[in-house]
Amino acid sequence: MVRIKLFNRSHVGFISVKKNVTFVQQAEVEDTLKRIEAREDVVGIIIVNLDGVYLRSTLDDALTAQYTKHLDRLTVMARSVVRNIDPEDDLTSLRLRIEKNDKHEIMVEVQYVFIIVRCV
Amino acid sequence: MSERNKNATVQPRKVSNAQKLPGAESTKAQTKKKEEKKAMDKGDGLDRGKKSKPSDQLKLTEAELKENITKVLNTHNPHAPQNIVRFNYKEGVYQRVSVDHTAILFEMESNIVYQDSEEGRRLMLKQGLIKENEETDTAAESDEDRMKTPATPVEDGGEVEEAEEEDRPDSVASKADKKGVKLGNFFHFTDRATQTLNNPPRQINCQTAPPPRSIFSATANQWQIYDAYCEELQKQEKQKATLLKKETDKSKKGVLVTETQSTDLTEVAKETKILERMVHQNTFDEIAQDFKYFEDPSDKFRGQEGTLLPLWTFQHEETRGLSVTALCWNSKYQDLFAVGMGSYDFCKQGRGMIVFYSLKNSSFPEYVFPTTSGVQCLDIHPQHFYLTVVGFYDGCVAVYNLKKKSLEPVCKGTPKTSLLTNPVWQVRWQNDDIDNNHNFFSVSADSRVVSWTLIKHELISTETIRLSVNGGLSNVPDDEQLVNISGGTSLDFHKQTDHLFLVGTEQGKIHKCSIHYSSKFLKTYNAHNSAVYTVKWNHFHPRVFISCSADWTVKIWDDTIKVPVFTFDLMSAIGDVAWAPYSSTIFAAVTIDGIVRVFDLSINKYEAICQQLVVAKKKTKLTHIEFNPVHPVIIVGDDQGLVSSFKLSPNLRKTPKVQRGQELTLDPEAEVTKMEHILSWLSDIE
Repeated sequence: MVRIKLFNRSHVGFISVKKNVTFVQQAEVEDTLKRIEAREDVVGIIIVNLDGVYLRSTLDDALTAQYTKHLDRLTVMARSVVRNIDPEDDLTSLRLRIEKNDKHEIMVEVQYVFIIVRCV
Repeated sequence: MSERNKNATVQPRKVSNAQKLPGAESTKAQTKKKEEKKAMDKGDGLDRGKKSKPSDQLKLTEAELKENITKVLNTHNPHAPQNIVRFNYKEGVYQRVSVDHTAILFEMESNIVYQDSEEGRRLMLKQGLIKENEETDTAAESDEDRMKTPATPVEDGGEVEEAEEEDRPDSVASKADKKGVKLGNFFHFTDRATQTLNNPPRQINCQTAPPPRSIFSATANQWQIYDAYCEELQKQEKQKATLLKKETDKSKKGVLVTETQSTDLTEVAKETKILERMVHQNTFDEIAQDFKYFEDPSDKFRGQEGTLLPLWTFQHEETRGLSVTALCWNSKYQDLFAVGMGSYDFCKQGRGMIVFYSLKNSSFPEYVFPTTSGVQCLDIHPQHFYLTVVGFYDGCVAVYNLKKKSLEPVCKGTPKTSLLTNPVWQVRWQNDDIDNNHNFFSVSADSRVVSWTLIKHELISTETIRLSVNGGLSNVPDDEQLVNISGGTSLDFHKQTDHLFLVGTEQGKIHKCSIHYSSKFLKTYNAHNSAVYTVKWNHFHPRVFISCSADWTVKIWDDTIKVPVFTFDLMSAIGDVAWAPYSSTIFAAVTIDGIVRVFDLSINKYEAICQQLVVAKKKTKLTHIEFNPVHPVIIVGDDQGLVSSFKLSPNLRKTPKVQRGQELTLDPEAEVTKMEHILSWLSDIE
């Protein structure tokens, strides 16, 4: 939550102009997400905000909830590790590979907690 | 003592006997010995036969033996030290400390006072009046045992006395005085007992409401500590700001917070991009690995030839029907390149496009700028990497700024006078001028080399030179001048000398010009029989340049010599030629038959060391080629709008080794000497 506020603090006073831009950006982002989803390799995308509430998901609810819960904790731990080593540093992304049976890869972008589940 | 005397007296006698007659021992002596035995037989377990005299026994004379020595017993404590000294700080000297010689054997504190002491006597006096009469009998002790009863007895004392008298008849008997009174020290010790009434105990309890509790847990990590400090810093900075600012901030924040709660995906833009690249990398994992690490091992067996390993292909669906007309790598971000899309076909002129691709994502471009007219040429500013200048088919030039989010160019310039469409064939950035304005040069089919300056979002053009057949402006009437004009088709600035540039013309001539001389050419080369498509200076050698033209030849020149140094006839129409950035002797050429040829003059002066068909469909014509400034990768554009990337095999990347084991770094001087060597070899031949 704190991050969102900071981001918008810079927009103070210029609401009207930025709105146009954000719409364009939003369209681009939507496009990109669609493209990622359209790839045959990608199983699903989950977008989660910093509170842990998921905004968008292409998987079913139960699975999404599970992923969100576990990955959230993992990212917190990973971030703790990175920052303990150097407090000025921060975690940006995580990649997990599951080797057995169905080979999956989970990619997590930590700024806004992104999860993509991909099958190798 | 007496025994000693005895022994003393006996011994000399014994000796004398022994001396005289050891054998004749009289019975007297024997009996005496027995006596001695008895006398000495007190725990002395040594041999009984002889009297043993220790060797170190003191030998005394008879007179000394008869001496009476008195021994005195005293109360001196033999263990008490006699010579203890302590330092007296008051006087500053060592002073002898006397040690008490008395040893206390028994001590008991009680409330009984010794009768004979002063205190006892005083107390006795007080009590003495009562018991004055009673006297002691024959007592071994002195008068002090007599009681002196005081006249007015102290009540308590009287009580005590009576009690004690009764209590201790036995003890009294043991003492000499029958009515012994024990005196108590009434100042220090008093036995007195009372019992008060015990109140029954009661309990009064009071219970308050328990305070609200919450469990708090936290961890203290390196980064949490850091964050705490950062927060502190921010708080301090806030306090420095004025109150007014704080208020306005708060009001505006209130407005914005509601917006953020909607599904605002704009913050996600950056992450989405990275994710797309991650997914892309996974898909094209092998290619990525090849790009980075693969070195073709079969090059060792192939002699001097090399191959091109196909990497990614870049295609965008909106570019169908357009051909690649320009390629340019970005100097700062070496994985980013720009592709200009247009058409070379005179008939099929329509829209165009500028597409920026990154090697990290081959499936979708980074930036797309659609244009109304076909793009003919493209250049990215070497220092200001976000500025791109584009030349169009309709004679316009435009500058695009990648930092700005709009799809429109920053500024657009149109040619001043001509109404005809004269495509701009080549644009090149130049260094910023004195006022730090960006400027670039363009060459167009209307035979003008124009210098454009970007001043506050406006392009101002100044004509630099006019290309005409006769070499420079001449005083020829207008209609004749038209005939003499030859359109410029390519332009390249010298790498080291800024003001020098080469212009290739449609007539097949190459002019060497300078910015400072606008009316005359410095030199003209009759290069080709038909239009010169590309002219490029060598990256290292200051005098060498290459040209390719529609007459199917590639020629290498030394600018001091009017005749080409090398000529390569490629048997097919050539699209483009480019020098390699890492070597002065390597260049590549593309032809319309879909073959990429790589030449290395230091290895083979007559043939290409690599000839490779790079396109799938046979009919695709390759239009442009560019070397990546850092990686051993080339991109090739064709007329289907497809850009393919290839990795150069090691044989194609040979640079002169200075020393074994040293790092292969680009050594410009080495490159220059390499070229010189070749040129001199040629001149030797001639």
